[in-house]
Amino acid sequence: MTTSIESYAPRSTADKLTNVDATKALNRRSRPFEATIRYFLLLCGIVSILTTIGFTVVLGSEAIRFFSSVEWLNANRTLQQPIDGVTTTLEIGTSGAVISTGQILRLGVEEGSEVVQVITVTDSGIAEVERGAMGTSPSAHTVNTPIFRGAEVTLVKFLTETRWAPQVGNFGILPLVSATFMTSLIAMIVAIPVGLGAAIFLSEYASTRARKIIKPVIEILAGVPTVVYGYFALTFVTPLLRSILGNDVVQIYNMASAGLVVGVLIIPTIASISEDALTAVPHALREASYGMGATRFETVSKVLLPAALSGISAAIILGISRAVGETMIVLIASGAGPNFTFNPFDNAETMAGHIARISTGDISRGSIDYNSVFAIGLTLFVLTLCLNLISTLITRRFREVYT
Amino acid sequence: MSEAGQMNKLKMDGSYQEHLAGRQQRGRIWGGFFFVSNFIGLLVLIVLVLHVFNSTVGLVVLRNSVDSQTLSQRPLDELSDDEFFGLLVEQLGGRARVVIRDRLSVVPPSDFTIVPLAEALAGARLPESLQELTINELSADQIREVLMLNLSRSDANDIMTDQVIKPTVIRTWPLLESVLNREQIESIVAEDYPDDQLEFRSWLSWDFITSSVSSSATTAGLRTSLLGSIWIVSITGIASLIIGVGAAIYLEEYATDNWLTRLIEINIRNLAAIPSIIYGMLGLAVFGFALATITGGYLFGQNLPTQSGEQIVGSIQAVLGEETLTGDARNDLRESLVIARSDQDQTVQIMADAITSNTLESGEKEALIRLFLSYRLPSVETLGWFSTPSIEQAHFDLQDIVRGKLSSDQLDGLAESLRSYGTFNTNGRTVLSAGLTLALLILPLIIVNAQEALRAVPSSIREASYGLGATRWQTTSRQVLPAALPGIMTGVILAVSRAIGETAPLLVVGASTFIGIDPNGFFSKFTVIPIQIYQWTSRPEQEFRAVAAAAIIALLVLMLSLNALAIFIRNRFSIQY
Repeated sequence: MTTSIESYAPRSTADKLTNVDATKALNRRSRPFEATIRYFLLLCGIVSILTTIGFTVVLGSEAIRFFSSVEWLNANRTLQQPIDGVTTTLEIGTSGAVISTGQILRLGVEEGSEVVQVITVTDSGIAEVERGAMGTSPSAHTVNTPIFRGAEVTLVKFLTETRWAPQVGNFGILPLVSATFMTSLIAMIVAIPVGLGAAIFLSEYASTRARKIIKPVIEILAGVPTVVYGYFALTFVTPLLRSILGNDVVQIYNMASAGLVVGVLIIPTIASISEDALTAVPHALREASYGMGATRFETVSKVLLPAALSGISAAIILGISRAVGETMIVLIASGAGPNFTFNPFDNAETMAGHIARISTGDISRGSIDYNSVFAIGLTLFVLTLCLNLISTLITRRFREVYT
Repeated sequence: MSEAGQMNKLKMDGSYQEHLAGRQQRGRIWGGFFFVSNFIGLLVLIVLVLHVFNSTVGLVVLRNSVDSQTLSQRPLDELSDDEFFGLLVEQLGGRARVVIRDRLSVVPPSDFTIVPLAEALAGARLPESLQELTINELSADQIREVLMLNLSRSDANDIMTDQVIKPTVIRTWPLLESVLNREQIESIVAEDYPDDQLEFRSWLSWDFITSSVSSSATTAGLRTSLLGSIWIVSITGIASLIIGVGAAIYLEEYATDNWLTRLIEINIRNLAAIPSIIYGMLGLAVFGFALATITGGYLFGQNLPTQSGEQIVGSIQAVLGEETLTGDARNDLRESLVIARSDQDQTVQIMADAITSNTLESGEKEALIRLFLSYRLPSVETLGWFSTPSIEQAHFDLQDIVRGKLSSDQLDGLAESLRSYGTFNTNGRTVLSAGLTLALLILPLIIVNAQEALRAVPSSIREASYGLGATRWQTTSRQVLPAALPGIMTGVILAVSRAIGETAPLLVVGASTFIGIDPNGFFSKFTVIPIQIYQWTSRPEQEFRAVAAAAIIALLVLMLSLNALAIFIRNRFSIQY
């Protein structure tokens, strides 16, 4: 035994082995190099987890900053009389932005100037206020001190308002959501029948040889860069739609052409996952159906589709998730500017498109634009994450049925 | 009606055959639909490619911004070399020095104006008397001499066309229309554009690939973005190869089935479905801002801000103090700049306001515009006030304007401070950040692919290796990895080819809308082909659509060749067990 160890072990070890007890040498030794490699590889694996944590922390923290921020907007009013540090009656003039009860006002241009909360306000421009709100300390102010009104971002406003314009204090994400919904809906109207049709053909009708040729061709669709699709949507699909439906019906930038092309993009996603689901249906089911005299279509529609339904739904949900997150096509073809509309031929901006457009300008860190973009990003992230999880859960359930 | 009743009815009236025919008919119709579904995708693909080709070549109407007849009485071809180069230098003005720098300089742009010509133009032919001078000390005649000694007549002709005559495209037609309706187009041109020439043009050409970006469609090129793409995907490829293969080896060869492994696996699957733009936001927040000291290169002495905001304001005030501006306007501007102090954005804003206001005389306004240009080329480009080929050129122009009003020391200081400001503005939004962001994006793809490649290596090979006493790492590195390498490489190349086409995350990480300088390292600002395509597509002018189409073809060819390489590697090197 000793000889065999000597002949296979590296020379230095072999030399050592002649001096020490052979069995002791065969005990587990510490191998620092092996251990280092192991930890390095583990670290590589953990990078993916770090990425997810990164998503959560980055999006979350910036979004929290957004929701706890107050945007100061010029009320176009000034103090009509100088005030000292104690008076609670302010003359704020009558022209300018509407000031209502409960609103917070900042006296002065600079960040950190005194903030007051309005208790009552009269038409003649006299306001009763509580001095030194939001942790600021009351101080004297000269006449003509400019007044800024504070627009607070709240989750309720974020989810219910129908205007998105952070610069002027409108923080409703609904226009972005509605556009995302519309483009995804149009995309699914294209992608579900076509993708599913292709999947059925490939799994039930096509010969092995035909499948080998057709499948890669469909997959190519997913490999075309999305910016190229965007170009196609804007310079081919839009003019086509306009020539069919008329220039006054279809805007130059519209959700329909963006949606149609996004639909083409996700055909492969739906086709390949649905095909896997259909192929996984046991042959016994098909044979039983044919044995009962069903035609091929009846077998597909009444036996296979219901049997593969969970897999197909998973495919569709994944398709929706891709459509929701698709950026370049909608950025190029569906227009720049949030617009709360459900008319597919109107221009409107989706969540992803808005993020891309705002970030393309010189966005500085900590600005309201920067933080608001992260709030939208978080919404998008949570939405797609949920869709993916649902899809995974459904897939897992469908796997249990036949294995 | 009950099923049994229906069956009886079928039997009794003998319509079973008819019903069967209906069922089969329906089956055929649906079968036809399923069949057609396969080809809808293919059809779109074909239409897309044809449409892009159709837009890339076609008839264009060209108009010269300077009529060659107004340049000289005789046709340009008949001028002697002396006259021609003289005319060229006269027409180019300050830009003649840029031409010399671009064509002949061997030193970095930042040194070009400082070092003597013998060093700056080492290797070029140079008269003895000019060896010790710097570029800014040359007279027009001497510049002409340098150009004549080093450029051929045809090169000079090209420069004349590109920079002086500047033909611009005022109308384009796609290929199909150009071929089918040629006569009609010719009559339109004869009627609407009598002075301009109609020409058949292919937007995709070698010139297009090799020239840098430009604000004019005829001279716009792909080089800057092509280099950007190459830099970025190289970083992406290397980073994701190391991390991705490492993770795959861990999962396949090392990990036991515990919660951590399962968490990693689930996580990877989820990451693959997260929209790419979210990756861009992660990249912006982490690489662009949080790690800016590393990704911006400050830690390695790159892109260091040599001037604080206050110093920049100081240097502008120095210009203002030298009586470039007069009276109240100057005082107002100085006041505002004092208030703005170190806020760079605000400084630029104030300058912009001053430019758009009417309190300045036209000469002052121009001086300020140039100054502004050198600060924020992108914003100006977007606003379309003014366009100039490069930020360096703005510096030259600026020097022309303030020459004689500043001492040479002040001038050098100002040019230097402007230059340093121009590069400082990168933050961490660099080639490195972009590469790493894309690496994170394609990591799930690479891991899953590498896992499959590793799984395909039969365990008998591992067992044989262990049986011979090899350690786990010896087995992995000497047996399993070599066997799986072709599969891994195929996956990496496919993923990288996907990264080349990615736009959205880089748009978020990179931001800058107009980059005219080739990337030259990890820490330069960047643009990539897809971003360039996006910018050209979103411009309103028709001719830029054609430029975008040409770029699309270049991009698709690049991606197809990478895919072909992947397929080649798979077929040539893969080992079947």
